[in-house]
Amino acid sequence: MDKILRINMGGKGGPQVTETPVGEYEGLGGRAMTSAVVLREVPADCHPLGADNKLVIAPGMLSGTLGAQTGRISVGCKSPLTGGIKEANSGGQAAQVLARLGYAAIILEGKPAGDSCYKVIINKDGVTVTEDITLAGLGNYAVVEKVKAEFGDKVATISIGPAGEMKLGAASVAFSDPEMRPTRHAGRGGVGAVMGSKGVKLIVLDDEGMSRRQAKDPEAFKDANKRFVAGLNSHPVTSQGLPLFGTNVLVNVVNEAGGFPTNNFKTGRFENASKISGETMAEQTTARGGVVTRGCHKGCVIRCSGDYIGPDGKWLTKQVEYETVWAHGANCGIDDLDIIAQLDRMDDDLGLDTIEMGNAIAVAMDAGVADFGDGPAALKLLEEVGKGTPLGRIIGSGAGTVGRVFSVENVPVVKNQALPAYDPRAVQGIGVTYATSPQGADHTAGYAVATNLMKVGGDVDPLKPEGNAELSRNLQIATASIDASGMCLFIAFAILDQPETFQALLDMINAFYGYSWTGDDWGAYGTAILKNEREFNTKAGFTKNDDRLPAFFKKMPLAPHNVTFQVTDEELDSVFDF
Amino acid sequence: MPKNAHDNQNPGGLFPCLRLSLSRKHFSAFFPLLQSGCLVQCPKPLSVEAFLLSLPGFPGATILDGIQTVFLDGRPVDDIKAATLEPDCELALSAAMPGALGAVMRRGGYYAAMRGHITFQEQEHETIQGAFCVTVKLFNLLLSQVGPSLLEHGIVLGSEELAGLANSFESGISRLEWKGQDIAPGEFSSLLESLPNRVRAQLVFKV
Repeated sequence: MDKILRINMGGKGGPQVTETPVGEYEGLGGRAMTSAVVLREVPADCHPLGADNKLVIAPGMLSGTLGAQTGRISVGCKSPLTGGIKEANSGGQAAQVLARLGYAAIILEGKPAGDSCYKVIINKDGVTVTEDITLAGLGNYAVVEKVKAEFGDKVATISIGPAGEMKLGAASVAFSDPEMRPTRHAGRGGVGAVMGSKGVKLIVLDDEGMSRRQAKDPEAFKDANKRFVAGLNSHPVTSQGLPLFGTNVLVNVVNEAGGFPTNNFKTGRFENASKISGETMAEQTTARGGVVTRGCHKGCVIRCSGDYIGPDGKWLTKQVEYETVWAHGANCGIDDLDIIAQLDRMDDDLGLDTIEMGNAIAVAMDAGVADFGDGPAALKLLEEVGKGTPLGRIIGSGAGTVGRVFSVENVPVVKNQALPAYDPRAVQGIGVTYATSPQGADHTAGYAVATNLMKVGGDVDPLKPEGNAELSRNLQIATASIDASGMCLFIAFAILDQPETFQALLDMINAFYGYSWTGDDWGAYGTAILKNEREFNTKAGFTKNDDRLPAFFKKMPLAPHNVTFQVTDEELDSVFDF
Repeated sequence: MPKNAHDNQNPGGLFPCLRLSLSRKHFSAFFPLLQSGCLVQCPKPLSVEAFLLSLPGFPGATILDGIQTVFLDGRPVDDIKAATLEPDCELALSAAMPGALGAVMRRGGYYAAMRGHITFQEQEHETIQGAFCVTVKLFNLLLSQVGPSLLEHGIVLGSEELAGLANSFESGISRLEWKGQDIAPGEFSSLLESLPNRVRAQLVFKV
């Protein structure tokens, strides 16, 4: 990973490809890379869909190595949804393959003159960019089928669906999984729209003939990785709960806590939660002959994904994740797993963020466009998005747009990005992260529950009332570090509970790069990422008033606990007192 | 005023007992019921921990450590030795969960402050006499780890509810006892028709 690939899609005479040494971005991976490039190279006042914006795709620091869990990839740009900086993170095969090809980042720049449709092929022999109009308008599944026909099933793909081509605010970037299906997505913030604005429909990555990245101290790296894997395999969350039930294991628990937003955040309990729970889905998958445990990329040992088999006994989509089950399920009042799975499949094919779409449909239901609980109506609304009808484009532009168009008062967005699946009135500490993350409302922004080990920001007394701001800050810092490493955020549980597993992670980085990082250095790395992101947003015009939840969370009590969001604006403003 | 069992529709603390021995392969038929909540008899006010340890065949400390997420009436519990079951309460049990949310909800966890305003707080109790019923929900790993003990302890079912479930396990009945008397398993269907409104069904699973 010693070079950066730049493709200027607005070059004279067509796309221009250049490769440059990694230079000033040395040592940066994943989110650290994307956010640094966006801050330094993208004018904060540019139009997100204009020539001045850049789309940065970066594997993590440890991607392409033999390290476990290192297959995450970051996609960054100025977001067309939020107007601020964006890093959307995904699994899939691309991180490992891109890293083995030697690229620390692909940066798509400029803008083609017309509505062209390009594909980019990257292999050991170099890079080609060609116009391929036959790809235009295809869903991600059809795109990948064409790739398989031409290149076989050992390559990795990065693609957009029709939503990206239409440059919709909820458009995602799709990454192929180990079974070569376009099921993994950098979903949030409309990154697919930016790829669409560059005229790039597809990137094919072929690492045949390339070898794994080698650590500076291979034996120490191998030993640290072994200890790290042992830690993951011995922790009940990463070795049992996630593999057996997937991320959707959270439904029953969040519902029980009264924090499961239902019918556009009207209540915290969904009556039929057990019908859509991870436990129920796992039972159903087994009964229908599916596999309940798969990894989203090679080298994953947690394997929290799996199959979703339709009622006809055929593979329909990947095991539907918690956020999707919530967004298209409880938040729309829908308790039919088969309909939720169909919506997930459509999102993946059209190239849409499931969280944004679930919220957009729920807000539309709140406006009376359809009834809560009406699954067929939800499917029809997604079809409208695929067709690009005026209503479909409104829905595909996200919950904020739907709320404005239909004059809905209670629209759950921060920085115009829809809230994920935990009601901030029930779990106020997570609400602090929703409000203050530079990314907009994002549950993964404060996910790395290991801050007590990292000691980022010093020791915190979590029992003091004002601890929420401090905890949120430290969670966000720790998460930024993990997002940069290329590691899956689910490692957080093992490193929270097992100091030796956290040490093994540090040892992996140190052995690979020849560093001598401690937990403090790891924290400082994450802090630098957040500072970059905050700086970009400030330049883009964001103020502390953007670090707020919608007012209804402070006014409307949430059943069953009848609580409102009580964290003060002053506490929110203290989160980034670096 | 002392609260007694009659307040909880549980006269005398006992329902007539139906004991079924079932093939283990039928255990998963009870997962939906265990997730959505079973009515369970509690002999007297007990802490969550004492209640669990009182269940027949409860695997003990190892499993207790694994019960990392506990709710009483929807409120996350930090101390299972102190939180006490009362008539009509709802107890939900889960293993440690993923996500920031999972860490936040963990009992006694580092991030408990992030849900401090909904955390279960032990209150002073009225004097409670006699047995009463509580609702118990089991999630994820605990379905298979705690489910067998809870079902052997017995769950209170309406006769119609039991009849609704019967199709999914009837073929696996190897032994049937009603009020302490052995009955031929083949008589289960006719027994169902004569059951009172509510029974305590004790379900024992055999490999």
